[in-house]
Amino acid sequence: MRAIIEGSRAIALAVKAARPNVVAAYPITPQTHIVEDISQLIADGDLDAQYVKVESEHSAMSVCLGASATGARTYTATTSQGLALMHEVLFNAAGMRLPIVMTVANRALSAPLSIWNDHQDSISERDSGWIQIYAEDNTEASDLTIQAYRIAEDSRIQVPVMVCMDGYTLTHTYEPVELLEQDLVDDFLPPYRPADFLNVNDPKSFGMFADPNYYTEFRYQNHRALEAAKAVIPQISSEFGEVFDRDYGGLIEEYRCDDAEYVLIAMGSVVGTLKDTVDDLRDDGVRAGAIKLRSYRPFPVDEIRSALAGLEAVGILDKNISLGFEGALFTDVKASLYHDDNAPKAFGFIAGLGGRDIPKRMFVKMFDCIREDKKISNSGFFDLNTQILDFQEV
Amino acid sequence: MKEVRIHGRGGQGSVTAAELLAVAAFEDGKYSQAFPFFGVERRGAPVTAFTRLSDKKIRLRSQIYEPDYVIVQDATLISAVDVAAGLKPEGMVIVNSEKSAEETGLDAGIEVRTIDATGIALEIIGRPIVNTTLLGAFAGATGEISIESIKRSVLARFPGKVGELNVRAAEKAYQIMAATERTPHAKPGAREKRETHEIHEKIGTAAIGKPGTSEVTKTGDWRVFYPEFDMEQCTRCGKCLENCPDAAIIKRTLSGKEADAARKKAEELEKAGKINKAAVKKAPIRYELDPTYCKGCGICANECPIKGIKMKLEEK
Ligand code: SF4
Ligand code: SF4
Repeated sequence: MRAIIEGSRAIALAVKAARPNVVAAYPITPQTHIVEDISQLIADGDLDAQYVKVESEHSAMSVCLGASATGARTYTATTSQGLALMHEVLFNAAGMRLPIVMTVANRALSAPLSIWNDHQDSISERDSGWIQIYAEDNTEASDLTIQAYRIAEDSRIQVPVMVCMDGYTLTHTYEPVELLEQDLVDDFLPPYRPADFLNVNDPKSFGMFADPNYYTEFRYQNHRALEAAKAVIPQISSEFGEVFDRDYGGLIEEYRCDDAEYVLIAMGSVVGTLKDTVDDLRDDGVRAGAIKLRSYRPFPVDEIRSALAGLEAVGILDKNISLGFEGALFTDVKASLYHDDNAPKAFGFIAGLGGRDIPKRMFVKMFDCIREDKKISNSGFFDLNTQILDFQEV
Repeated sequence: MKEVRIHGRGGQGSVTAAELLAVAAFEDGKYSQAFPFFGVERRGAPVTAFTRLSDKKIRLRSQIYEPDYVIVQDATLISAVDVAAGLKPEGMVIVNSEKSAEETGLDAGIEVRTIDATGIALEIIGRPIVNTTLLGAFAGATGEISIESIKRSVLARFPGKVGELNVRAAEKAYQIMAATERTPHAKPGAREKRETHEIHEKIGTAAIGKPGTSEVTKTGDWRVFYPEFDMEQCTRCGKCLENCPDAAIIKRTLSGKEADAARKKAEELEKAGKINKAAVKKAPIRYELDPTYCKGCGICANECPIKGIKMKLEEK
């Protein structure tokens, strides 16, 4: 059934359908509507879960960690500074192999203070050992929430998952959303039954000490789990497709790439605008294409390589920057192509930071740059307003 | 695809209007999308919200730069915001105003239709909440959406009496607009596109701001209501002044003849038994409004312990 609701509402309903046992969250804009809606669902008796009110995001993640270790299905959501505050617990959750699912309502990091969208918050948790998947629209974000539990709880994976959706641009937008039918979700997502959990009758220790004889091996296994997810994510996506008739494909989605000469890669909701731009350019006879990067960790090295094989040039949009170097996706895409002799020329674009809008004409300009092999100035900051700066790069 | 941009002030329900319009379009079997220009929401500050309507799934996520329609909830915005920026040549601007299209001050080249939504809302709803009324006007003026769907979407959001009244106001505005023909444009031509960067002032290196910016922001422009002080009953407690978020209440002590006159008037009131002796002494102390900065939030009226402040509708 399709309904027109706010993105945050769609996530709350998806969480309800996933039947978590414990929800712990601390409100922070633009995540607020999601957790408000969930607490209301619980208060109204529509969702049988325990909502733990906490004093910070660090505590929210700690509660989820503890609850998950007891075998509970857990959920939380946060953004920006809240995600940063969770930082150390994120590594613990991943290392303890706890299948927590979290929505990240992507937002910029301070300073300067910004409540608006970019991807710096989740990108900055790249190495936490969590799987990160980015949604293009609210139906995908809702569907991913259900798939995330299947991925996280899969015995081959056992790793927590972040479902990343653009703050405001998705969370606060009303649009038609395909609602999840409860009976189908129940078939697709059985209750969580972990092999190991905290149990007084069968005592075990979670997150214990590992001396130099063991630490490396635990890290290796954590890494292997993320690598294994490269096969599991598409598999669960197609299983989901069979049940719900909506298949998002694998780690990447290729849009009009078959005979494309020039392709732009992006993540998140801006991909919608990018696809529309590709259609416009195609109408003008330009063989443009788009790649939506869905899974950022694990990074789809092979998929990117084969999708870009034979292309002239590729552009990569980063709504983040690793200060002192370049956009995170740009680095990863180039690294993926390192062993290919005929790798396309890669252009990195940093744009859309702190909520700056990316209209179609900006994508057109990016395509112009890669088609005409233009030098990208201003360290790749593509939508820089140089008028308000004293300093200017030459 | 049709794109609608709504201009209003914080507290006027512009975002709700965008959402209700999207819901109504969905009811009509269309795809739609509604989102606000995500600002820091402050009552009275200029607000923009967007709605897209289409027969196909909408993927576009950017703001709306070349709208087919613009709805202006508050005509006072026209001097502050370029509401018609980027309007398509065949586009239309619907303005809440009792004035005629020519009197709004918008370019002669664009189709402007006015409706006294505030008047309709005050008459039917009893409050100057114009968003639903303007949605009715939009349905009548553009035909992009059915009035039935507008009504259903309003009722779904505001069940009961409130919804009924809003529906009646929307219906009235619809009838008025539907009865008047669209006028062909005097001299159609594409409007200038909005610049992406409207800020030209130089910035420093660190996120460090200069003080005193609140002086530059004339929050008085945002006002829909203004507070009226009952200086006869006022106990001079100062609560209003302490709580005003914009320091828009000024305490002034009268001197000389003015003070004598105030005292004399207070003595008369004391004789009539309306105030006590202590109040007579304080009579020269006045609490006054600074209209440049009062944004009409009503916090002072809420805080006044004797309910001596009444919020009045600003005559514009
Ligand atoms: S309404 Fe009252 S509290 Fe609000 S700005 Fe005006 S004077 Fe201040
Ligand atoms: S809060 Fe009311 S009584 Fe107190 S000073 Fe203000 S107007 Fe007078």
